[in-house]
Amino acid sequence: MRKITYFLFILFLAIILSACSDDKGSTNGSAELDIKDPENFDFETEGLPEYNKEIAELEDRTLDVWLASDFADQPSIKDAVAQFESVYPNVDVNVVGYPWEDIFDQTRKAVGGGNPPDLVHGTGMIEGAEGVAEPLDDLWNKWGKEDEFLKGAIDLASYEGTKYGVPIEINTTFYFYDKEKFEEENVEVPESFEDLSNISNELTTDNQYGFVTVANSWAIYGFIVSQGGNIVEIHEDGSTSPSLNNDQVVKIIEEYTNMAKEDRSSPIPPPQKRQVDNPIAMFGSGRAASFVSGPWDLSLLKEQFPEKYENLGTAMIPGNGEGSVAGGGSLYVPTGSDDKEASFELMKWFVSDKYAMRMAEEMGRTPVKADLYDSDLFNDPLLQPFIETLDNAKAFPIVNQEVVDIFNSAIRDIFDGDDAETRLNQAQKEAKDAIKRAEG
Amino acid sequence: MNKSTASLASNNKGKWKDYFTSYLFALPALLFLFVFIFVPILYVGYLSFHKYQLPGEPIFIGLENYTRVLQDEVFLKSIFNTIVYTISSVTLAVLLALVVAYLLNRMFKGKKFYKVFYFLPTVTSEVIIAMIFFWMFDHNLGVINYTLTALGIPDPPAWLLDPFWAMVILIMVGTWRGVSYNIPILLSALESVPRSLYEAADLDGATDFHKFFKISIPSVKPMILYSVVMGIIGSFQVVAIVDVLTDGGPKNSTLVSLKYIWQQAFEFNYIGYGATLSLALLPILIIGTGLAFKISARGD
Repeated sequence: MRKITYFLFILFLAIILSACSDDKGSTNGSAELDIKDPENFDFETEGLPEYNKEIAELEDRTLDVWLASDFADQPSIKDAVAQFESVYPNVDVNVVGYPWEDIFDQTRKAVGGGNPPDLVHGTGMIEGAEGVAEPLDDLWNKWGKEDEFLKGAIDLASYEGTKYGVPIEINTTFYFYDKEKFEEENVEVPESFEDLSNISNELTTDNQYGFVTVANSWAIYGFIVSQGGNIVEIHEDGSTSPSLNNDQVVKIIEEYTNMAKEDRSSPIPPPQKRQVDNPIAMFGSGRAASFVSGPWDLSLLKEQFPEKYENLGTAMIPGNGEGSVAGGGSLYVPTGSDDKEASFELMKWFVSDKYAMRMAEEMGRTPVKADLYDSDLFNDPLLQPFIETLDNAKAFPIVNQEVVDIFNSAIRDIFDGDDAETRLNQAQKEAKDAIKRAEG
Repeated sequence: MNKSTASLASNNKGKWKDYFTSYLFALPALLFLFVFIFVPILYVGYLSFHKYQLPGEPIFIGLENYTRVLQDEVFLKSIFNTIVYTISSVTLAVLLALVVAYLLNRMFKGKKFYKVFYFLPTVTSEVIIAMIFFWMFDHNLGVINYTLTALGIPDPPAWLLDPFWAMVILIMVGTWRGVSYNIPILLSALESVPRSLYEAADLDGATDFHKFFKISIPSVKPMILYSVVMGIIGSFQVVAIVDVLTDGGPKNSTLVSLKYIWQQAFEFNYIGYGATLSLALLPILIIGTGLAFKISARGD
């Protein structure tokens, strides 16, 4: 009897475990993905990169690929890998997922230890600046497809004019607002920063804030770009240095933080480093009428606050129409990897039209090639301000993480009561010291 | 060689043989200790004299990192914060755990349930606990401010943005976890105190108060010391709670040492300086633990 009970228990456990497993295998059968005669296959029509004989002639090898966890197990990634392997049977691809926030540190350690993987998911820009990524200009030139990519996406993968990666997704920020509340208060969608401040005041009541600010340098850089400002000074030789206290930056940060500190048309942002959750929670719960965020919040609103999504309107970030901040990810070859060519070839497959569109459809990852936005998938009116902003989206220009932290701390302190000009002067001094320390 | 010298030599030989056998048995554990504890500590010592930024090679810079530590006001502030957090949370956690364990030590129905129930926070992830407290104390969407507003208080405090309250909340979380960790330890110690001592005290007319201070506490003193030492070590390792609740703010008022060391070493890539900061923390830990032993020994 005990044996039977034991057996039933094991069976039950196995059923539970198999039911719990999240099988995100290939959506297509592997036979369907197989390309048996690559030399005579029409890759272009399929939206895939051309057949590369040089890669096909390489000796047998395995590519170790480190992707962010939310990419690694996705069907579109798995299918891209399977199809790539069928075209290049001499190349095995081993994909491992890492949490996005750990992947850079892990790669830095692997490069330092002399055992880097072959292809990693990151930004390209930061890794290039830190000496963790191989320059890829030679392979880009050979490929000759740079013009197909959005400029902001290329900038994200480059440092001081050298390309260190192939961008895989791009995003930027735009304005989200509750149409119903705007109609009730009979206010227009803000176009300038001044409008934003005034309209947010008009929308603020005892139970509702007009807008939600965030204490995050990347998000605020969107407002700085939208008004034609910059947080770095560009020198004649193309190098840059932080300019956190120039008049325009001080003015924008002062006005932005004053919405929370003085006007009370925005809540004071929470103290956490992660700032993305508060605006959507405030908006979704009806405690705020507008906020600025990226396309990722469209799907979140749709899933978590469907009634808010029905009344959602979007517009370009209030400013002078000069664009916003660009974010996203790139693929790069870590310093010291022996398989630069094969890795670059695999990157081409990941960003190919076929798989970029699948990632957009299945994962909500917005593509890096301008032409792909002509697809019906991007006809959604809510996405139009996003698509319009992409052309002028600029990558966050500071790569030294200590300086980024100094800027973030200054913004936080200004929200918590410090005078903007004094605090940004101090931040500028600290940033200069940090750069001297890093270089010295 | 006379008989006694021969017997002494044979005794010594036997002793050495015993020692050798003992060391042979302990060898795997010693090897493990050497490879995973001593070698890393030595390597940290080596790194502390270097500027080391991955993926580059370490560059010898002598005592530069040590000079920087002495001038690093943020690090000193982080040590001060850690000490405040440690003293407060460890003291409260041990005292409250002692009281709860004493109450649980009495015979009553459902005792087992309470034993498990009180231990739950220890087996719950620190991040989840911090998230629970965040949902309580967040000034925009937290339960506490929602309740206060509903009760007619128009402008409740932004708890986690106030240096005093932010630290108090961190201490509360630390205490909550510490109490939960200490209860089973102190309870098992209390359960091993012979009942006859309490019965004798009852015959002498001792009150509960007297029994608690004159029998219970002296009997479980070694376990209290253990809880204090483990509490000190655990408090110096706190990071996740701070990360989730305050990120070290406002104005570094809740920045703890380990978070600062991690930030310098891995976020800013100053591995050598991070190593120096770790070593600077070592004497404080040794002094803290030593003080706990000394205070405990004073009463013996």
